[in-house]
Amino acid sequence: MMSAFAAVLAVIAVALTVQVTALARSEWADPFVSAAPQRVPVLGGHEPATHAWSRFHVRYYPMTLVFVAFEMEMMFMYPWAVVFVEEGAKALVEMGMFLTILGVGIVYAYKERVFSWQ
Amino acid sequence: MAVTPIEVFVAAGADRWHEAQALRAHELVRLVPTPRHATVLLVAGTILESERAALDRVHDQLPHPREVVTWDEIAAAVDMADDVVDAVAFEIVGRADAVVADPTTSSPTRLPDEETHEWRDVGPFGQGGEGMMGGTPYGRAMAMTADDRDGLRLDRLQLRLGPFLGQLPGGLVADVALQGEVIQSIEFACAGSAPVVTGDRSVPVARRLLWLSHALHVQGLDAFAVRAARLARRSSGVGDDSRLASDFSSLRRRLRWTGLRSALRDVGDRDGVDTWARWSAHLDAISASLDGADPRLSPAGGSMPITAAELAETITGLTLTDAVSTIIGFDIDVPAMTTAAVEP
Amino acid sequence: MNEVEQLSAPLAIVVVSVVLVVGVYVSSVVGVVAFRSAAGQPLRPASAALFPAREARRLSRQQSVRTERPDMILRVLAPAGFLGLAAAAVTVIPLSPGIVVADVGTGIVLFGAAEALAIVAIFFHGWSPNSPFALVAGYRFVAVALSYELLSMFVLIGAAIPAESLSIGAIVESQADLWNVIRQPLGFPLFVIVSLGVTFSGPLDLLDSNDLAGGGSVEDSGIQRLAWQIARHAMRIAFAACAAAVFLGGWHGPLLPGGLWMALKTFAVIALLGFLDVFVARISAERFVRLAWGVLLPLAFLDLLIAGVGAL
Repeated sequence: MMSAFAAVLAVIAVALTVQVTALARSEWADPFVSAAPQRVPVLGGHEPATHAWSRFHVRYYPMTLVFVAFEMEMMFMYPWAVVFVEEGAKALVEMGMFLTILGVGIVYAYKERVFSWQ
Repeated sequence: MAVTPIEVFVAAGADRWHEAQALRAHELVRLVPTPRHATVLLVAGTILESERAALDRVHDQLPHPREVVTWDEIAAAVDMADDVVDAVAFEIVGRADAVVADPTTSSPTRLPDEETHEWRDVGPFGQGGEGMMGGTPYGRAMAMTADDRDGLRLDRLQLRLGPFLGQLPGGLVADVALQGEVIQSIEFACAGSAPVVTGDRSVPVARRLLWLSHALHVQGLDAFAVRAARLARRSSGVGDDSRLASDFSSLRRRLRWTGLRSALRDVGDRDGVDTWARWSAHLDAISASLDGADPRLSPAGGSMPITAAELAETITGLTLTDAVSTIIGFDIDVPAMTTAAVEP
Repeated sequence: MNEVEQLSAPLAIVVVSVVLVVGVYVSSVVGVVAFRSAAGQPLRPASAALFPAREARRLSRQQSVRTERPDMILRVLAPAGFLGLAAAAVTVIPLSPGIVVADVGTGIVLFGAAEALAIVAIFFHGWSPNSPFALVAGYRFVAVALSYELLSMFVLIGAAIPAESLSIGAIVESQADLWNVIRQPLGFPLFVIVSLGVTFSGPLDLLDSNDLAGGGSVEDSGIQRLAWQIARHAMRIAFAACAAAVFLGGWHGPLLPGGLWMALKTFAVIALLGFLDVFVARISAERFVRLAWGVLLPLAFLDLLIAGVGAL
C-alpha cells in the first residue's frame, strides 16, 4: 500500500520536474529578452492604471460556504459508500435524511440569491 | 498544406474591421483573440492619431518572431476588390514563414524600451519602502477601494479597454470600472448622443455575415465562425453563391444545437429585448435578404437604435462576460461613434 | 479477483508517461479533426496527424513573453502542477486486468483530491501574470469549478456503492455483468459535464475564453502556452480514462484483450469531449452555477438514490 503511494508521488514528481525544466528554460534562459513595452498586460492598447492584483470582490463567496458544507458531507459519504450494501436500507434512509437537511440549505440559499450575483 | 495555420492578431480601425474578419474563412490563417498568441499583426483600416500609441503598444506585445502586414498596402496592389482577402492571406503566410526561418528579422520594438512605472523603493520623504505600503511599490499603483453593495468597501479595477481587442469591434474604447467581475460603471470614449447600432439600417448582407462570424467566435464557436466567414465571402462575390440561402439556413439549424439560445437568453435585457432576441433579428434579416431578390442588401430589421449612453446604461451592473455578449449582440457601428466624438 | 501486482516506481513513471504522451497527442489530433469537421473544412488526416508535432515545434521556437510584475513561481507551478495532478489521477485508473499503476484502496478519493487541487492550479494560472483579463477569468472559473466538483464526487460515490469499495479497480470489476452507464444512467452525462469543466472546454470554457481576449491564457506565448495546453489535454486523458473505467465497464469486453478495450473506450470519451468542445457554445459562469446547484445537483442526488436502490 505504501509502495502504491510512493509510485504516485514519483509520478507527480517526474511530471512536475519535466514541466518546470521546460518552463525554466523559457523563463530564465530565453534567447529573446522581453522589452519593457512588451511586458505591459494585454488591454487592447492602453496601459493599465493599476496592478491587476487587488481585493477582488468574490461575489460567489456565500456559495463557497455552501460548497464547504457539502464537502464535509462528502467526507462522510466515502466510508458510507463502502459499507452501504452490508448495512442495507437503513443506510439509505440515514443518508437520505442527511442530504435532505443539506438540501433545505440549498433551497434557502437559492431564495437568498446566493447563486446569482448580478 | 504542409504547415500549421499562421496565427494572426487583427488590429483594425473601425472602417475595415468587419472586412478583416473575412480572414477566418482561410485555412492558412487563424485569427487569435490576443496579441500574445500571434505571429503576425495585421493592421487594417484607418488608424486615428489617437490610436497610434495604442497600435504600437499592441505591436510590441506580440512575441518574437513577429511580422507586420498592412491590409491597405496589399489592397492597393491588387486589381479586384474581391481578391484582397486571398492576397492578404498569402502575404501573411509568406512573411510569417520568412520571419520564422530567420528570427533576426523580427519586427523591432516601436515604443521606447523603458519602464513607464519604475519600482521606487524609499522616497525622499520616507514614503514607499518595502512591501506594498505607500509610495508606488512594484511600479504601478494598487487599485483603490470604493464602496460596494451591502456596506462593503473593496477594490475597484479601473480599465481602459483599448481600440484593438479581439472581442470588441475595432476602434471601440471603453473605460470600465470593475468590482469583482461586475461592471460598476462604463463609459464609451465618444459622444453620448450618437446612435450606434446598425440593426435598423440596410447594410450589405456580407457585412451582417461578418458580424455573425465575429460574434460566434466570441461565444466560443470558432468552427461555426469559419462557416459564417465563408458564407460572407461567397455573398460578396468570391466563390459560388448559388446555394447561399440553403447553406445559411443549414448553418442556422446547426446553431440551434449549440445551446446558443440558452446561453444568450435574458442576457442584456433592455425593454424586454434580450441578446438572443437581437441575434434572432439579425439572423432573420440575413435569411430574408438571402431568400429575397437582392442578395446584396439586407432590409431594415433588427434592434432599435440606441445611443452610446443607453448602451452603457444597459451594461452597467452586468458581469464582464455578459457585458461583452451584450455589446456584441448589438451590431455596433463604431465609425458613427468615433465621428460623433469629433463633432460635439 | 484479479491479482494486481504493484508496479515499482520507475515502471510506474514509464507507464504513466506512455499513457499521457500518446493520449495528449491523440487528444490534440481529435481536437483538430473535430474543428475541421465542424468548420466544413477538408479533414486532411495526414496534416491533422502531424498537427500537434508541428504546433509544438512552432511554439517552442516562439518567445515566452513575461509580463511586468508576474508571480514567477506560480507562473511556472501552474502548468507543472496541473500536469502533475493529471498524472496522479491516471495512476489510480486500471489500464487493463492486471495493471494499475497505484493500487490504493481509495482510488476515488485520490482522484477527487487531484480534481480539487486542479482548481488551485488553474486559479494560479489566472492569477500569476498580473493581468486583468486573466485575473477575472481565473476568479470566474473557480465559481464554476466549485459547482461541478460536487457533481463529480456524488456520481463517483454512486458508482462505488455496488462495488463496496473506493478503489476504481473494484468498480471496474463490479461492472462485469452490467456497465454503470446503463445501471446508473445519470452518472455518465454528469461526469462528462464535469470533464468539460475541469478541462475548461465547450460550454464551460470560462478560463481561456475568447470573450476575455483569451482569458487565463491572455499573456501566454511560446513554451508557457504549450505547457498549459499539454497539461489541459493530459487532464482530459485522465478524466476520459476514469469515465471509461467507472461508467463504461473499463477493461470488460469480448474478444479483444482488456487493455485494448480500455484504450478504445478512453478514445471514445476523448472523441466525445473533443466534439463537445467545438460544437457547444459557452454559457456564463453565473448561469452554470445556478444550473449546477439547482438542477444538476438534484440529478446527482437522484443518481445516488438509483445507485443505492439498485445495490440493495
